Formats: sequence, C-alpha cells, structure tokens
Amino acid sequence: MARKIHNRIALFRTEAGLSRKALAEAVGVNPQTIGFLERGDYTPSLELAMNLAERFGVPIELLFSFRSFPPMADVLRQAAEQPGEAA
Amino acid sequence: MTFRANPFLEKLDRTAELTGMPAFSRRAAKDTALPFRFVPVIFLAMAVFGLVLQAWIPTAGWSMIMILWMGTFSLLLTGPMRRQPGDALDERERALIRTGHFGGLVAVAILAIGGCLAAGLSQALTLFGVAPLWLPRHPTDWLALGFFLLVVEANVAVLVASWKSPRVPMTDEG
Repeated sequence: MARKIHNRIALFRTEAGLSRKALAEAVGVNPQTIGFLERGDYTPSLELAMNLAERFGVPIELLFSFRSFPPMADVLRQAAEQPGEAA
Repeated sequence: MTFRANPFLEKLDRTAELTGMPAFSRRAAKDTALPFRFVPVIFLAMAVFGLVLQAWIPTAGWSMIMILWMGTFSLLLTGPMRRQPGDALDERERALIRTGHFGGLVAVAILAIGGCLAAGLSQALTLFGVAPLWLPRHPTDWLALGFFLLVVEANVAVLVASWKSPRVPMTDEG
C-alpha cells in the first residue's frame, strides 16, 4: 500500500499569487492536475515534485511530507509564543 | 435553463432533470472529461447478451455488438480517457490512460484464455455425452467475437479510469 503524501502546493500557490492555470503552465501540466495535486487525489512523479519545489524556490521537503502539515494558524501561533525560536 | 413562472413548464423541466440528460449536457458542454462509473457496466452486460444472441441468431448478435462498439467509442471520446486534439497529455492523464487500458487488456486476456480453455474442455467432454459449448463457425461469429473483445477492453478501460478519477469536478481557479 502506497503511503499518503501530503503537500502545501495550495498554500505556496496562493502566497505566490498564482492561478492554477499559471502554475500548471510553469511546471508543464494541465490545470486540472494542479487541482488534483492540491486535493491529494494524485501523487506526482519525482520530476513534477521537483519542478514544483523549484518554481516556489523551496526545498522539496517543505512542499511534500509523509506527515500532514499543521494548519498555518497553528504555525503562526507557535511562532508568536516562541519568538526567539521562530527567528 | 429552468422555468420558474409557468407551473406546467416547471413540472416538465423537473421531469426532464430526472432523466439526467440535462445534467449530462451541462457537464459535456464544459471542457472537462466526464467520468462514466455505470454506463460501461450496462454496455458490458449488453455485449454479453449480444454474444449469447449471436449463438441463437447469427444475423442479430453481431450487429448489436457493432452498435455497442459505436456507443463505446463515444465514451472514449468524452470520458476520462479522451484526448483533446492539439493538447499534450500530462503525466497524470498518461497514467490514467495506461491504468485504464491495463485493466481492459487484463479483462480481455482473462476472457480469451478462459474462453479457449472452456471451449477445449467442452469439446473433450463431448466424449462423455456432455453437450459442447458454442464455438464460432460463421464469419459473423468471428466478427461478433472480435468486436465483443473490443467492447470489453474499451468499457473496462473507461470504467477503471472513471473510478480512478476524483468524484468532485475541479475548476481551473479557486
């Protein structure tokens, strides 16, 4: 059984101000595939995963993980509670 | 388009909606592939019926299977395995087509191997007075059998690809 891979594509895409279509064109897939990736309905190939990470300028492990990513509100709250560590 | 002012037209509109055809047309008008999760099962059942019919009426069965093949072709053109002219397939679409056809070919292989073994065994059992299974003899029998296998392959492929596609249609934005 394949392990579920979680991703933060939607978060990074929104932050970059990109539409699904624009991101799809940048990484060479159809816009629907970006939607399926964001919903976790499709696991990308290593090449596509690396293309996405390169497009957002982040290491691949920031974009994909075997463990689910905590909600952004929790991350911000934690950062606010521990300002020294967050910096 | 729905009618709200005229009660008679509104009822007609609701009746038409119950058939599912208006919803089908709305989805077909959009530039998205349609998943067919149950239509291929009906086509497969009709194809089996067509082959049984061929054994009894050699002029009827094969034409029914040919018509089913044309219907199946429309599923290939509008379903999740469709290919838009000029559009390059991405890795997800290629994987979906590959998986679908793999399922279809496995189904055809099982039918062909099982059919050959069953036909051979039934001929051997005639030595013990058991009635033999139907075997293709006329040219139309072979046509029916060939198109039956085509219909099975394509419908199983569409079925597999449809069940592998997400249920909620995606929009390009959002």
